[in-house]
Amino acid sequence: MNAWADKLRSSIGKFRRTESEAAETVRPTPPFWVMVHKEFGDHIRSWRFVILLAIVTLACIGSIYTAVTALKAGVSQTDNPTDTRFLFLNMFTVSDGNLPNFLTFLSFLAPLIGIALGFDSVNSERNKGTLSRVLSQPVHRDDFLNAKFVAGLLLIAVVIFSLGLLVMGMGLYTIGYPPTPEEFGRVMLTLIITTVYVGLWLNLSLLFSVRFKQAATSALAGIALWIFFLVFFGMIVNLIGNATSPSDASDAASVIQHSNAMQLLSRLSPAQLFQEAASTLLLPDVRTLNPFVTQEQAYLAISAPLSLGQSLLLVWPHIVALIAETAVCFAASYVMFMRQEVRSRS
Amino acid sequence: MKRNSHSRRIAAAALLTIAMLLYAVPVFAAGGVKVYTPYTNLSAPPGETLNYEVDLINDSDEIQTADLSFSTGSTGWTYELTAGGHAIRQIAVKPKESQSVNLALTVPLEVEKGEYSFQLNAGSFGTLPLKVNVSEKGSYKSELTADRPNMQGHSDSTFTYSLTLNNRTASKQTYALTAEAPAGWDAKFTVDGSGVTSVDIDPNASKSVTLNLTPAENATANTYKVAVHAASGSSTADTEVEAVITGTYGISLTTSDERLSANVTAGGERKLELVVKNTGSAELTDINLTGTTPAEWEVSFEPKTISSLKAGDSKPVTATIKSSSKALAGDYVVGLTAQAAEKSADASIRMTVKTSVLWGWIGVLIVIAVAAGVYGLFRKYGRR
Repeated sequence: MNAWADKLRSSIGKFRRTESEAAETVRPTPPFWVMVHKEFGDHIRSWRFVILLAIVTLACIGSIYTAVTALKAGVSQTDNPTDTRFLFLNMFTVSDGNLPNFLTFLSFLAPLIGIALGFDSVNSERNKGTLSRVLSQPVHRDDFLNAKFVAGLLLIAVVIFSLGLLVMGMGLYTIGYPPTPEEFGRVMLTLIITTVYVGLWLNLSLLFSVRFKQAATSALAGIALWIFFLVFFGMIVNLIGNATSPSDASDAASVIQHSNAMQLLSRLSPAQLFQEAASTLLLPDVRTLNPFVTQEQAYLAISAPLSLGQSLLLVWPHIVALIAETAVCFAASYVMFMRQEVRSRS
Repeated sequence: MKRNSHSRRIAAAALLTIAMLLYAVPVFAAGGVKVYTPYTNLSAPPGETLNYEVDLINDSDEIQTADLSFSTGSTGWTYELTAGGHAIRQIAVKPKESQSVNLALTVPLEVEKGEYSFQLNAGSFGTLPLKVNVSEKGSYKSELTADRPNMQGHSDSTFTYSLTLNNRTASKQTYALTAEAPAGWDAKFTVDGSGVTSVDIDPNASKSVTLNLTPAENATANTYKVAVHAASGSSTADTEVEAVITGTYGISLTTSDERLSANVTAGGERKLELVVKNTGSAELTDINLTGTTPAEWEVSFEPKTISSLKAGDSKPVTATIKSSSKALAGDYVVGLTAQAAEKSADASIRMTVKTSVLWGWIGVLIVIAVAAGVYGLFRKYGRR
């Protein structure tokens, strides 16, 4: 970290020099982006990231394999096996049963990338004493945190889009026909949502790294939350659902009301939000997220895929919630960081 | 003595008379042998077969043998002599016994009216003259007749004529059946319930043939004559049937721009310009417009009914489709029907339900509010 503080200093020196030498036309990199670049480079070179990337890539290759096997065996839309309209999107959603599909893997493992990138970003610098050295440079204090966030999000975007394009490439190779612009748009939107979702976990771990002095504590907090939402939350919702289910199963109104309440509860989990949003975008035949479709709604309805805009409108609340949660987490860590005292250790 | 001989002569004449009464046609041959049949002058129509049973009586003391032959005299007549189921040419009769021979004589189909004479020669038994009176003139041709050659209906109906085809020729005939229907018409022949193009008929037999005529879809009101032929290699028969078409009914329902899909916001309304057109050649009356909609949807028409629509005319109708606010995003089918007393037309409109974008904008507002909050934090804590 000393090295990058030095580089920062020299860059700022350059920046000042350029400012004094008005004749010079080359614009220097602003210090914020220097910090972002440095952070980005540090992440990429770290063993932690390489190991994580290896795990996620292996998982994705596994899911591509399972999708390819399923497609070759002829498992497309279960209700309409001859329907090949959105075959390309099946690469992301089908599975032959041996391994989970790509989306499930992504919703399960991608948060780990976010947690790993953020859990020690502030407290380790503080413990090593590099924080005060960086902030002793003429940079805005919040630039430090912003740079951590932006660099992490950029890296996440690179990883997610690489994996997504890897799957698309394999899909092209396997299926043999190119995606339509709509399919491409759906995949790109899903990847953006995935980036936002992982960004939420990044911000959570950033918050923990600001809050907890020890990196281990912050890592544990992040992983605990991850396990809670991805493993235990569904069970808890089921438990509550079973306990509160209406006694009279023939009372349609109360059954529907109960199921809506349970759905609302389960949507408190960002993982649930992400899975609903992503699967709706990747399965154009999904017309509603409600578990119940009333007879009135189904009468004379044709089974036809929604347009991209309508699918997006269906999951728009989910996307808004994900973005808002990410922003709120960031704001919380921001406030906490700005209020903390920065002391030099030595 | 003289008187005695006179009375004896009288007795002989009486005996002769009795004998003549006893034997209608006594044919005396040498040595007490006779040939006999009871009906020697018969009437028969052309094509009929006459059966004679001829008795050969031997009153002598010796066995009598005779060659049998029959002379037909005029052409076309056929005969067959049989005894005991076999054709016979010679017969022997024991003393004081008689034998029977069957003679089958067929009147030809092509024959003039009148009396014809024949002779059965039975050698030593003598000859037996036979007379046949042909009651009518033989036709020797095929006949095709229609029971009700004239039928009336509109262009949607099928005209069914029953025809009778009669083979009056001497041989079995295979008739090819054809109908000279106008262009676009469909003519089908059925015999005994199955569709045929030709029919086999034995000599002097007849068969009923059904002709199904389906008019062309655009057949106008008119009288159509259809010639029907039954032709075999040697003989033909023709007849003519008539189909009187009183008019055609046709109606079409479509949108003014012929597009059968439309968008509607959930809970919103959509107006569709429809056109009801009379595509037939007869006037349509009391056209009702109705709709089949998904549950809790509404469809109304302006006007709701059209009292009459002349042939070729069209009338615009405005349909207002109101979707249910609970409708799912995606496609629904709305069926519209224009129902006249005579005919009806359907149009299926594919309605694509779109979610209201209001909540989308509210989401955008929330994102903007959050972004503004973060910006406020930047202003408050950073850059001091």
